[in-house]
Amino acid sequence: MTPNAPDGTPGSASTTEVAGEPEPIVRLQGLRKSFGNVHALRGLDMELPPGPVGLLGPNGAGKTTLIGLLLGLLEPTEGTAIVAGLQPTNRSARIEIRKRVGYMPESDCLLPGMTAVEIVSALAKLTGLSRQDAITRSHEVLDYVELDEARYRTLDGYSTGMKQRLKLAQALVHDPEFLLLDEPTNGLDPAGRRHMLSLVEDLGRNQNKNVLLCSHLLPDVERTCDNVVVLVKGQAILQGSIAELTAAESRRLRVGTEGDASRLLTALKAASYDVSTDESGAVIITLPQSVEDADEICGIAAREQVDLSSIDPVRSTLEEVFLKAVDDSEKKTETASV
Amino acid sequence: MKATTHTEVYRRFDGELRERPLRSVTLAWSGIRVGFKKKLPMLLLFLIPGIFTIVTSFMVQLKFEAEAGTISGMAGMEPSAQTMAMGALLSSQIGQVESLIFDLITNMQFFVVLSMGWYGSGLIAEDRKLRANLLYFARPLSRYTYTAGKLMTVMFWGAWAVVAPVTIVCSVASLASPEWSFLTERWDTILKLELYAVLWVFFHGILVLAISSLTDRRNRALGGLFIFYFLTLAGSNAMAELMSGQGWRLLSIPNNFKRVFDSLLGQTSPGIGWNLESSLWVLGLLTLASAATLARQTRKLEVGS
Repeated sequence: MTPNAPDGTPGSASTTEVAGEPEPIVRLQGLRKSFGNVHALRGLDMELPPGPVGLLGPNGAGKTTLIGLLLGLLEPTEGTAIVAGLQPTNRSARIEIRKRVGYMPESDCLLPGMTAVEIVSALAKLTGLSRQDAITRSHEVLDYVELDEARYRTLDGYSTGMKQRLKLAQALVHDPEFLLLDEPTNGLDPAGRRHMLSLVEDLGRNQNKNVLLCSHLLPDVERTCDNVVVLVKGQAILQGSIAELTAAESRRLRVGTEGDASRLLTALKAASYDVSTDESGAVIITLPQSVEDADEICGIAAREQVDLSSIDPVRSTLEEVFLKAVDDSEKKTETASV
Repeated sequence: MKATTHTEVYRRFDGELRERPLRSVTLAWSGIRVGFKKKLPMLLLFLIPGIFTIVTSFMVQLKFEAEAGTISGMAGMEPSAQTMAMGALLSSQIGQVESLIFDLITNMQFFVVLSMGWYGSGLIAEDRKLRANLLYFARPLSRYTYTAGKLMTVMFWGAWAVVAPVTIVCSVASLASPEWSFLTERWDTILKLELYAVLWVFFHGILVLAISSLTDRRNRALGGLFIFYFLTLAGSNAMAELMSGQGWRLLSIPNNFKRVFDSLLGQTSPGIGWNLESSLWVLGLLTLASAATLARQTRKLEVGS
C-alpha cells in the first residue's frame, strides 16, 4: 500500500526510515479534542514508534478519545495528527486511515446468531476485500487465531477467549499496518490470557505489526510491548522505551543476606542509609550521593557479622514507573492549582 | 522473542482494498442471514401472509376459470354482440380480481408492521447494546452506508409481507386471465400497487429504524413502535369520533396511507374526507423526522459515543 502525504493526498509521504530513525506510525502535536466544555485531550504530544507500544492511563485519561482519533472517527479540535502517514483532516483521509488500521474493541461487540466465518468475511467485504478474498482471508486469520471447527458455529456457544480471538481475527482480516488492541485480555482465564498475549507478542515482534495495546494490566504491556505511553488527563506524561524506563537504577541496591537481615537493617539505619525491605525480606538500599559504591555496605555487614548472598541494582517494574508517573502528575496539578 | 503458545503462521494479504459501492448490500445481507436463522418467528410472522397470498391466488384463478363456461356459451352469438359480451365479462372479471388484490394489500399491512417491527427493532438497538458500531465504523464505512444497509434489511422483511404477495397474486392474475389481459389492461394498476407497497415498506422501515436507534434494547424499540403506532391509530379515531372532526384521523399513519391508496388507485373509502396533500404532508414530516433522528443517532454511533 502506498502511504499518503500528511495532508491526506496519496503517494508522497513516506513511512520509511529517515536518517536511520524509523518514521513514527503516529505523530501527534499539540492535539486537543473537546466535547463542549469537556476537554478530553489537552495538547497531546506523542510519537508512537513502529512496533508494539503500550498505552496506559487511568480511567478518564482520554484513551477512548485518542482511539477515536487514531481510527479517524473523530476530528481534532486543535493540533495535528498523522496516523499511518495520513492526516485526519477531511472525511476521505479519515476513511482512508480506517483501511490501514485494524481495531479490536474492548466491548463485546459481536452480533450473536452469526458464525465466526460469516462475521469476519462480512467485515472483510465492508473493508473493501472482494468476495473471494474475504472468504480466503477470513479462514487465514481464523486459522491464525486458532478458531478451528468453532468458526462454523454461531457465537452463542463461544467462550470469552474465543470471542476475544475472533475480535482479533476481524481486526487482522485486511492485514492492516497499524493494530489498535483495546484490552485484549479482558475477562480471560490464565490460559486464554497467555494465548492472547502470545498472539499479540507474535504480531508485534515477529510479524512487524505496529501495535498499540491499551490495557490496564501492566504485566501484559511489559510482556508484549517495547515502548509505552502513559496518558493522564489528556496529556502524555511519560513515553519511551520500557527497557529504559524500567532500567536498573545504579543508586538502588537489593542486598540479599544469609539468615537474619534485621541486624544489617538496624546498622544501615544507624549509618543514615535510606533502607527498606521487599516482600522477600531482602534489604533495599538507596545510596546517598556521597557514596560511590557498595564497599561501605559490605564493611557494615562484616562488622555486624551478617553474610551477604547478593548485591544487585534494583530494576523498577512498569507498574512502579506508571504509578510514580501518575503520582508526580497529580502532585504537579495540585501544586499548579494551589 | 518467539510466541509460546500459538503455532499458526500469520499470512500477509497481498490483495487489494477497493471502494465497493455495494457495501450496504453486504451489511444488509448479514442482517438478513441472521433473520433467516430464526425459524419460529419467521414461521409465525409469514404464515398468515402466506396463507392469504395462496388463498387470494386461488380465488383469482377461480374467478377467471369460473367464467370460462360463460365464454364458451357465447359461441352462438353474433360476432359483435359476442365481442361486447366478452369485453363486459372480462372487465367485470378484472374488476373483481382488482378488488381481491386491494383487499389483500389492505389485510397485509398489519403483518408488514409486525414483521418489520420484529426484525427491524433490534437492528440498531442491538448494535448500540453490544457496541457493534465500533466494528462497522472502524472500517471505511460511512453512516449513510450503514443506514442504507440497515434500511435494506428491514425493508427486505417488509417486502416479504406485502410486495411479494402483491407480486405473486398479480402474476397469477396475469397468467390466469385470457390472453394476459390482466397484465395488458391493468399494468398501470399493478405498478401503482407495487409502488404503494414499496412506499409502505420504506416509510415503516425508516420509522422502525429511527425508533430502534433511540434505545439500546430491542424490546423497548419494539414496544415503542407498537405504542406509537397503535396509540396514534386508536387515539386519532377516538378523537375523530368524539370531536366529530375528520382532521383527527390525520394523526394516524394507516389512515394517511389509506388516503394515498385511494388517490393512487381511484378508490373511495368511508371516513376519509380530507385531501391528499394533507396526508402527504403528515407522512412527509414523519419521514423527515425519522430520517433526522436516524442521522443524529448514527452520527453518535460513528464517533463511538
